[in-house]
Amino acid sequence: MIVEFHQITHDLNEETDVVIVGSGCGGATVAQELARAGKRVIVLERGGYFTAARGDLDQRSDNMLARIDGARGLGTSRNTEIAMMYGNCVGGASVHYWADSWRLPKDRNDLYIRAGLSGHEPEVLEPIFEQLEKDLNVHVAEPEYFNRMNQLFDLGAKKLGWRTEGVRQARRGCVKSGHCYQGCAYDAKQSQLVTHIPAALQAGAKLFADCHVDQITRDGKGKANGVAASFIDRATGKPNGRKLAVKARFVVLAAGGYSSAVVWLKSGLPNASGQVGRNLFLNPCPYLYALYNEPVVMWVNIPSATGVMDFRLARYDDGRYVEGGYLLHPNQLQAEFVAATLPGFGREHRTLMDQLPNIGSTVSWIDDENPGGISLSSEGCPLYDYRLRGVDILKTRDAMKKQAMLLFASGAREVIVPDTVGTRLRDPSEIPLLDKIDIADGAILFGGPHPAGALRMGKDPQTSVVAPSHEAHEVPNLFVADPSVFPRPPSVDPSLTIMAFSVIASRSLLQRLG
Amino acid sequence: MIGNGVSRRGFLGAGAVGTTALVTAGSWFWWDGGDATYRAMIGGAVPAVLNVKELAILGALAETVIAVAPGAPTAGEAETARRIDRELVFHKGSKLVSDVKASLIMLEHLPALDFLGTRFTALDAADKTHFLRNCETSSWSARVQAFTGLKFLILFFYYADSRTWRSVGYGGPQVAGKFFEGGNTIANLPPVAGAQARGA
Repeated sequence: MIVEFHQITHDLNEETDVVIVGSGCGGATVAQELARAGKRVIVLERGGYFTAARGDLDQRSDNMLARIDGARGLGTSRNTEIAMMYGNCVGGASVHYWADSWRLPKDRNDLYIRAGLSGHEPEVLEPIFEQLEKDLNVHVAEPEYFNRMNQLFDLGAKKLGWRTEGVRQARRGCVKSGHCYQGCAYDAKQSQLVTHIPAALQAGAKLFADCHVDQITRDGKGKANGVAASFIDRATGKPNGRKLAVKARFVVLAAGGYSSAVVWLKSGLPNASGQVGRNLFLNPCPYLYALYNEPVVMWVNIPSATGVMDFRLARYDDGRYVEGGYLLHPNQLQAEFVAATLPGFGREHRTLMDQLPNIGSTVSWIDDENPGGISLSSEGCPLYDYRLRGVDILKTRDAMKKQAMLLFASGAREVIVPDTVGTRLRDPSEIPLLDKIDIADGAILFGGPHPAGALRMGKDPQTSVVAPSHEAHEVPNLFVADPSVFPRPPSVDPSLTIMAFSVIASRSLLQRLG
Repeated sequence: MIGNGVSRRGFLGAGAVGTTALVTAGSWFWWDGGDATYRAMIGGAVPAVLNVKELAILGALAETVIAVAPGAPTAGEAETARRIDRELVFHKGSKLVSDVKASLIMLEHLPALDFLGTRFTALDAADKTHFLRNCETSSWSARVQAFTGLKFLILFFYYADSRTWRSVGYGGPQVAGKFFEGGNTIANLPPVAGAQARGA
């Protein structure tokens, strides 16, 4: 059952085997696994419960960001360089993800094992991935799901001799509306909202929506033993005065890559290693616009049915960066996001907007190596410090240059950089400009859709927060099941890896529950 | 390296020192911009988080940032400034609110440094455009980001208005809209008492 804020008329006390903080790819997966094993499970989700059946997912960005996004679409890192994209609703960030579904690449899996993540070996993960892919109907999109931007992307890549690959999609009965980021109004995208959440509920789990966790509680020996939470009035975003106390044998922290470390810090949990909140990676996303002589209408159909994966790993020569370290994809943005990120204002901006259907875009996911961090201000507000630096700047510039090459090769007559000075490339010979333009500290707003690492996993309690069993080194009975545990980003969309890791976390919990 | 980003700290880059200096300096110029002037600019609108002056400045900025296409609403008709003000209700206590406020005050009084006049809201249309162009290309990052941050909000909320879509060839959603109490559409705004709000 799901309980929403307006159904709460008095303070509540609950007792359960496991209380899970967060209902995204991590929390929902753990809930499903434990509930199906017959365990008593309570899931707490800070955001609201919004469904296609009720007509809540109405595709309007202003309404939908208010409903499902962590900071209503306006969260940024402190230097304004990164637009934080994350979920705040039942189903978490999967409600606005693009449904790209990747297995953890072998090379990255090996790196994780070298970092001490025993129990997460490829042979352990493979059958889990297989099951998840079946459950979520993961498949390569048929050609009819390629919008014009995807077609142009393939055309440009082919001209450059770059190999493209179909991006596997978690969809069932997609109607090509193109409003994936706003939350699928047709239940076609296989987010947690329509997969693991209903499965968990059917197996007996109980979910409280609109429920903000104030604190993870501990017993006299320092073991996690529950949570203290407040209900949020959805209309105001403020506590409505009703409280919830949950006593549990185990607590699972699955509030997501931007929020789990915050819950930890706000709860005042121990942090002798000093690692909590450090190592924040977020896959910064540089993107470019292009003007074509034909309608592209990039806002319909699947955002990213194709991509170039051969640049996923950075290539070095004698320790010197050469190229790569990112994925390259077609981009999809609705009108208001294009408007807000195109350069210029007034008549100049208007002239670009007049050509909106002819505007296309590409995007890269940078496999960042230099992390930022999460901390709390003196008032207890989360602070996200992140700046592109070191080799990540080189990767970003290279990604932008590759995008510009592809856009021109696909027939673009002009490439537009979404920077503050409005850099425009009118010919491929101008691409080297991208080595010189200012891209730091907010000169370009990069998306940050895949936060990871702020409660990283490892064997050594001095250098990590969570053990390979997913249990916190310093807080017995507290498990973490979200991308916060990744020692490095997976180098691909993380959703399937988060789910797979969460299955492993569930197995550890089941062993402990007996 | 974490925490060393002092050059452009904060939303819109409006660092505390710079803002304090500007607000202090700005107080010298307020003699020609009393509350009555600003109140007249926003008509009967009642701000939720911003004060009257800040809402008026935001309205004037929005009118300059948005070049209206035939058949599309003006920034004032689209209630762009009021929608941003409403949005801030959900971010009370956050750095976003303090930085938006600081940036508005900064932009209102910076034209003096460009020898254009004492207040942005008092400039003519050409000088407003000239001033904002200077903001975009300034070597002072706080000034750049004060403008670009506000510009982002203005353009997002203006083009989130369905009345603007036809003019830019955007098809928009394929399902019916549903009112959300915690949303930020024009339907979420309280009615303006008396005269139509102008530029807000």
